[in-house]
Amino acid sequence: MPLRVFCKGVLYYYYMDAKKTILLVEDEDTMLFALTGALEQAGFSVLTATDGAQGLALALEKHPDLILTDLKMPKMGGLEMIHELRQDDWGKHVEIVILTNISDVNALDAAMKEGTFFYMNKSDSSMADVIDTVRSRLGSGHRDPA
Amino acid sequence: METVTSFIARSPLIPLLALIAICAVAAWVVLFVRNAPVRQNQRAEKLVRELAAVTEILGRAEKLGHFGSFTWNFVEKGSSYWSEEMYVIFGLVPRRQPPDISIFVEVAAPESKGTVQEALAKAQAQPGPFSFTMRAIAPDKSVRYVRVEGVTVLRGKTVWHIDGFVRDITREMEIDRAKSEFVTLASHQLKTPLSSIRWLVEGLASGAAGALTPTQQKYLDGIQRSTQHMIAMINELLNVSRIELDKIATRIEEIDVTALAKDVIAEQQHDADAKAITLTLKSATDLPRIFADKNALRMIFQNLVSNAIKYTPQGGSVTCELSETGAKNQSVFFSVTDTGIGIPADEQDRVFEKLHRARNAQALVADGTGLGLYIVKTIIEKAGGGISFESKEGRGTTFSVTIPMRWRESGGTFQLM
Repeated sequence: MPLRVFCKGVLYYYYMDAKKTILLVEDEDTMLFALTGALEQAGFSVLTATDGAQGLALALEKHPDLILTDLKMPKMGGLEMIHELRQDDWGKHVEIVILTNISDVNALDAAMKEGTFFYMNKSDSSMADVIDTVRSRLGSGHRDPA
Repeated sequence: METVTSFIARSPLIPLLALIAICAVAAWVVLFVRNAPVRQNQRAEKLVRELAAVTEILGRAEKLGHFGSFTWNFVEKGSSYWSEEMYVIFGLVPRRQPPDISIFVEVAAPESKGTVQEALAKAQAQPGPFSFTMRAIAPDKSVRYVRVEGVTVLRGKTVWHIDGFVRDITREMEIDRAKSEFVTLASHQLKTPLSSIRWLVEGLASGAAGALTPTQQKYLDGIQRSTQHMIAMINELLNVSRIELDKIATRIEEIDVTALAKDVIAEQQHDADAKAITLTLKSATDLPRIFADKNALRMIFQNLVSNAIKYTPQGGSVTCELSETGAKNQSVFFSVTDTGIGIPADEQDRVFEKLHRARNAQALVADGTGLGLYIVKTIIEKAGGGISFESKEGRGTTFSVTIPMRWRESGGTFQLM
């Protein structure tokens, strides 16, 4: 019994210490570059996709800890990608943060209905804000580990 | 010579000539009097012809210029008149009804009815010029924007009549709308590269690309400030164009006004401290919670407080006050009093004008869009409240806002930035 608890503790410690993976879905090259650099510097491991379709495929394959996505993108937009993700058993619970310049409340409402609880306005957020948000969402324990 | 004169004097011709002359004069008088109606008729006909010509010219001018004229007599209703173009503008051609002031309300679109009724009641109550803009819906469902301008005339102490004209400003409104849409699109497009610049500069400044010399750091600070400034300006442009397009969404929620005001003041404390300005909030203790758009209300507080700090010299004071006001306590009253540079008397009526900045404000703070107060006024009036100010140049200014306890909803889809 104590051994199992001990093993669990070690595993938990190891899990907590592991680099969290962030999937960044953004079609603008420069923005992708700026965000990737900052997130890596903040200690995250970063996966990138430049449209919703690519983002969806990568998310389902690699199961990142958090997805940071734009809304307006070619091929597949952010909303559609989120909708598709929520159909998946794993994707149902993954933490998603929207980072966009869109301030259309209808689009944001739609995202909320898909179970995305956090939205940031690009031009109003400093890089520190973005990283703080990512950290707090990762630590928020909203995800269901099932 | 003598014989000639005496002959004339004695001649019977003289009385005869005199008689003929008298008869002629009498005949002329009789004829003149008898012909008077005919001449009057001729004159009247001439006047009628002239009047018809003038009316026709006016009619053509009205058609070309898309305006119609009217007069409404409150006492002798029969002498009220509407020009043909009035009926055309309101889509009531062929004339369906005699001129009546109530037609303005009848044709007004639902959201304009209130404005029209209010304006007409005011026009009837006080003499002088009045004007309002309305959206009119014709019986055939076509929509026009109409500007009404008029003047109320007294006879003695009675409100006698209203003279005025209406102008079809649909085309102007469309052009204005296209302009606002262009501004929205352009500013929105600018935001993406600006966000990139901001983040890249932040990355550089944080040392992500290697250590920086103090001079490099200073350059970057400058870029960072300018970028922030540009983002703030673009946000203001977006707000203005969206307000004008009626695209701002209001989200009504229950708000603790005092907490919100405290929050805003805490945010601005740093700027006040930097100029050794005493920033205080006096608040009534038991203010009720109100139903308002938090984002918009925050923006109103922020604008007024930051303006006060910006235009108050070192060591001055900015005092904010919150209290309940209005009959049956229907609104909350917020005021900001500063010991700043004040607004010059001759510029006071332009304070809320879009893009206007007072001379002394420009001299003190070079950058500023002149959009802040315009945005504040538009938001608060849309919500059903109001804003006013009192100012003395060189002494200070007090801005006062009446915040309704229940805001009017508006149906847009965009958040204020």
